Formats: sequence, structure tokens, C-alpha cells
Amino acid sequence: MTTLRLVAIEARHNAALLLVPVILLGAWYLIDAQLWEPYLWSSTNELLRKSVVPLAGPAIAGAAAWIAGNDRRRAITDLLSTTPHPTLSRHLTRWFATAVWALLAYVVVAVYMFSRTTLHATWGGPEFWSVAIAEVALLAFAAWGYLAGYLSASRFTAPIVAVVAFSGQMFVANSMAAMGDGTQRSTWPTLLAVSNVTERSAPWQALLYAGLTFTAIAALWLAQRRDLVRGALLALAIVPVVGGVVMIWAGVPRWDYANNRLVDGWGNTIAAEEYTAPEPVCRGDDVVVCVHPQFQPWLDRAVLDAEHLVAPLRGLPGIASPVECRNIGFGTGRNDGTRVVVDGCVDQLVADESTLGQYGRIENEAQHAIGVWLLARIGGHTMCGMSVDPLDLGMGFPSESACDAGERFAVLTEAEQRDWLETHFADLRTGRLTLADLP
Amino acid sequence: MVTNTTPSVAARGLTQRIGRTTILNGIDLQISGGVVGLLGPNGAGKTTLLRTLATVLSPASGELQLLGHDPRRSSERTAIRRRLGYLPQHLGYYPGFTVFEFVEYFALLKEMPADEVRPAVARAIERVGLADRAKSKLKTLSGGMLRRVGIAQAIVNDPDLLLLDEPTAGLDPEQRVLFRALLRDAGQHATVIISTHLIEDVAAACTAMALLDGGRIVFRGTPDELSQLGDGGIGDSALERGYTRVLTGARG
Repeated sequence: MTTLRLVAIEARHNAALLLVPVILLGAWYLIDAQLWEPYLWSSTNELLRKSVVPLAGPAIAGAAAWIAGNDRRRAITDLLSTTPHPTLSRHLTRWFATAVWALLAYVVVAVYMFSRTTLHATWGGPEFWSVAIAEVALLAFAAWGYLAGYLSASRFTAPIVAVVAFSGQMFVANSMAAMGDGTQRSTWPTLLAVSNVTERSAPWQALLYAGLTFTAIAALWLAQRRDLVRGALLALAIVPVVGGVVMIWAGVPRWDYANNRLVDGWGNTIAAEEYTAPEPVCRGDDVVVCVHPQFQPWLDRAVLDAEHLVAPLRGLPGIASPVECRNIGFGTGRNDGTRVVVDGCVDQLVADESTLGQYGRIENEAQHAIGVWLLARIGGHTMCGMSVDPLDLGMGFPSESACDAGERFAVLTEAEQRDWLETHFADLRTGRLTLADLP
Repeated sequence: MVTNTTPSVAARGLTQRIGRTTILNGIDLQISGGVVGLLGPNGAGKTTLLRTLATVLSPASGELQLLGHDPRRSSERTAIRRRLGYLPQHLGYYPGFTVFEFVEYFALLKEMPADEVRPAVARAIERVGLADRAKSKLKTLSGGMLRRVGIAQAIVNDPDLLLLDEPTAGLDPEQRVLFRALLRDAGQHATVIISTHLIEDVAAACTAMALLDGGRIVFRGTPDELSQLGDGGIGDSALERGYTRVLTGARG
């Protein structure tokens, strides 16, 4: 009862309270621009992971640093030290009363996003474990910020802590981006990044953040009075942190670029069946379109687009009947079921599977050119003139020459196009043509 | 409640140092109830003595017993603090707290039983004459009112040992008169030690007093006894003359 009342008083007069609208507005700004129809649980969960903690974490760390230094700045330590209430307990009360605002703000954002998504999404569900990890991570941010503020009560500590925490997040994010494009092979940033949490790594990341929190609290305790017993206990507190790092290292899957396989921290190959995709949903007669079940509401439109896409290729060698356009990926980068399906379908139509490059993408420029023409016919994105990471695209990234060739092909009459296709399509699919072979 | 058999404060050879500077130099003191005034010039060691008695500072050497407990021992220090009230010379405060919340906050930190907290807070605020400002934020109060808030938090737990460092600084004459009455009332059932520069406060409210100079007690007795030593001293009242006379004598 006493503790609850202390938390209530501390929370009511906590600087972190002022951060709640800032966090909510910031989250709304970051999220609302990206959370559009179609609402997909995969998008919502990813947005929640990536958007809120990197903003709220540094903010609450700074607020905690400010709060921790309050007693010394306001010269109230003498009076507080004469009360029988344990000093560490008082600090924990204040730390929690600070952190609770960030926890609540995060929950508000999560409930908002989950509610909006629940109304529309057809497959999947909220990642509650992801929310739990984020909450533990926010506690860790607050604990380390509080420790910094306790050790240095300067007015500059809070902004410095916030900037350092934010910079740390950016460093982790940049390191992860570098890992994504293969320029950075170290996987350690994945251990700390909340945005990288997976169901598999969740328990270990929770252990890590809890350990970080526990360590900060133990250091706070030790800072009040140094002695051997407390030093030993601090050492013990570090155990879960080290344990968390090791277990995440062991448990989080990562890509072994050298050997092109998924491995764990010890280099053991992780069986593919652990990551089997859900059963796709399929629809259509002449063109059967299969998609990840989360894209089901947009399947009819996808079938229509795919039929238009296939129409000029009907009867050509290598074009099966019915055509099956399959895209069962979980990709949310484009957040649009139709486009993802159509892009993937272009790959399958213009290229024999044996000619596709790494990641199943077109590498031949002549195939690209015809793909550009097909996509342009149905008003799709050809990616011509765009500077886009080719890894993000279903069809790959056509060169300027391929785009020009595709545009030249588009201005031919339908009869001329058909004539050329009937003569060359078999060679096109097997990758034996170059741009010089196109009209 | 302080009993006559257990002195509230028992110090022998109490020494306090800050860095290499000796602030208290072998203080011998025994106090059992009543209102005791600590007088002395600036730098005499009054505040350091009160901070030591309030368990803010641990004695550098010598013996100290507070309410029958040794403040050097952690468990006994906690027992002392439960029965302690302390007003520091410079009262820090949280400006966003209301008067009620600030006093309640300290009542909770003093580990008062939960059901007694709110009535005790209301009573303490009433005793310092701030009942009509209970919901005011501290940042809106005058210096004198803040001092009274500090006194309220010190008395909220009905302490057996009440330590007040310059409690009347900033109080207007009317409030000082009321405060002296509060002191006399508190001294009926607790030991009250006040540090002050205002000799008239000591004369009006204290049953005993000690005069510090250079970290040592140079006089111990009642205000009347100090007054009687005033011949040849400087001052407007007998007590002031006694004060200056004793200081002059102590400095040789």
C-alpha cells in the first residue's frame, strides 16, 4: 500500500509524464504514414517493433536520468537520508514511476495499431511477445538512464543520455542495414535490437534486457555503498546479461553468406522446416494466383491483373495452361498484395527457372526488357528510372538499357509483338537472348 | 515516547570531520526530553552536530547513542529514523508537489502505518497553520510557508527526537510566536533540539541549551543560567550578554 502510494505520487509528478504526448505524437507520425490499407499483421507487428522503442527508449532514458538527479539538484538528499525507508527501494519506486509512463505509452500505441489491424486483417495476429520484449527493453532504458542520472546529477546528463541512447539505436540500426546488404558480417547488433526480435529469439532477448535492467539496479545499489558483498552480487547480476547474450547468439538464426545457409550462433545449419510458410490461398481458372493468406482480400484483383499480364503470352512455348502465379512470401516491403503477386509472376513468365539468379530473380537483360513491357501494359511499376535496392523487388532491377528496350517493344503493334514473341520466346526464357536481339 | 531512563541523545567524545577539518571536537552531551537550544556563532558546528544526530553523517569517532540505539549499526539506524523528525538548514523540495503530497511523501518514507498517514498529514499541516494551503503547489509558497512545510514533514510522525536546524528563519513574528508554542507542546512528549541564531527563541521556548564554539560545547545549562553569566558581556538582553561573555571566555 505504502509503495503503491509512493509510486502514485512519484508518477504524478514525474517529468516522464510530459514525454507521453511526445511519444504518442512521434509514434503516430512514424506509424500513420506507413500503416495503410491493406492492413497486414506482418506490417503492423514490424512497424510496432521498429517505430516506438527507438523513439521511446532514448526519451525515457533521458527522463530517468533527469529524475535520478533531482534529489541532488534540489538539495533534498539530507532530508531523504534521515528516513527509514530503504534508499534502494525509494530509487526503485522512482525508476518504476518514471518507466511506467513509457510502458503505458507503448501499450496505447500497440492497442491502437492492433485495433486498427484487427478490423481489416484476414490472417495472422498480434505479436504479444514482441510487445512484452519492448516493455522489458523500455525498463532497461529507464534503468540505465536512472543510473547515469544518479551518478551525475548535472543538468546536462539527461540530454546526453538521451542522445547517447538514440545514437546507440541508430548505430545498431545501421549495423543491421549493413548486415542486410552483406557489407557487414558481424551479427552482434541483432542481439540488442528490439526491432529484430523474433519469436525464436524472444525469450533470450527478454532475458538480456531483464539482465541489463537488473545490472543497472545492482550498480545503483552498489554505488550507494561499496563493499565486497555488494560487489559480488553485482557480479552475479551480470550473469543473466552474459547468459542472455550467449543464448541469443546461439538461438537467433542468421544468414551464413559464405555458405548460403541459415545457421545458429554455433554455425549449425538450421533446418528449413522450422520456417515453413503457411498454406497459400489460390484462386483463378486460366491463371491461378496463389498468395500468402494475409493477402487473401486482394486475391480477386490479383487474378484480374495476372490474367491481363498473361494474355499476350498465351500459347507461347513455356507458358503453361493454366498459368500458376505463386507468391507465398511474407514480404511486407511494398504492402500491396497485387503488386507482389504480379511482380513474382513476371519472373516466372519470362524466365525459365534455371536462368533465374540469386534469390530467384531475373538477371538477363532481355528478360528484363520484356518484363518491363509486360508490367507497363497493366500499369504496374516497372522500376525503370528508380534508384531502388534490387533486393527489395520481386522482379529485380532493370538496367536503363533494358528499360529503353522494353519501351521500344511497347511501341510495336500487337501483331509485331506477337510475331517476335512466337519466334524468340523460347530462347528468351532460357536466357539465350541479349538486348541486341530485341527489336 | 522517551522515557526518563533512556537518554534521547548520549554522546561521549563525539568527533566529526569533513576532509581534514575537524568540525566537532569531542562533544559530550546527554539529553533526555524537553526543548534544547543549540546556540553558537557561524561555523561553530551546530549544523554538523544536528546532521550527525539526524544520522545524515556517521560519527568519525566517539560514542553516540540516539533513542537508545547505535546509529552506526544499520538495523538500529533504521529504528532511530522511524522515531526521528528532522528539518535541515536548507530545505530542498519538489516544486510540483502540493503541501499535502510533500508531507505525505515523507510520512510514507518514515514508514508510518498506511491508515495513519492521511490523518497525521492533515494534523501536521494544521499544526503549522497551512491547512488552507494544503493543496497549493510548493513552488507557489513564500519562504516562510516553505519553512512551515518543512516543520510539518518533521513532526508528521510525532517523533521522539525532533531536530530542527534554524526552524524560525524566514518566519514572520506571528508565526514565530505560534512556532514557539508548537515547540513547547512537542517538548512535552519528545526531545526537541533546535539550532538557532535567535537568542530570543531560546529564551522563550527552550528548557535547556548548549553553546557551541569551534566544534566544542563551551556552555551547557538553562537559558536562565546563561543569563546569569552576563556580567561584562555585550548585548541588549541578559541572555545576549551571557552568550557573548561565555564565547569571549572560551576563546581566552
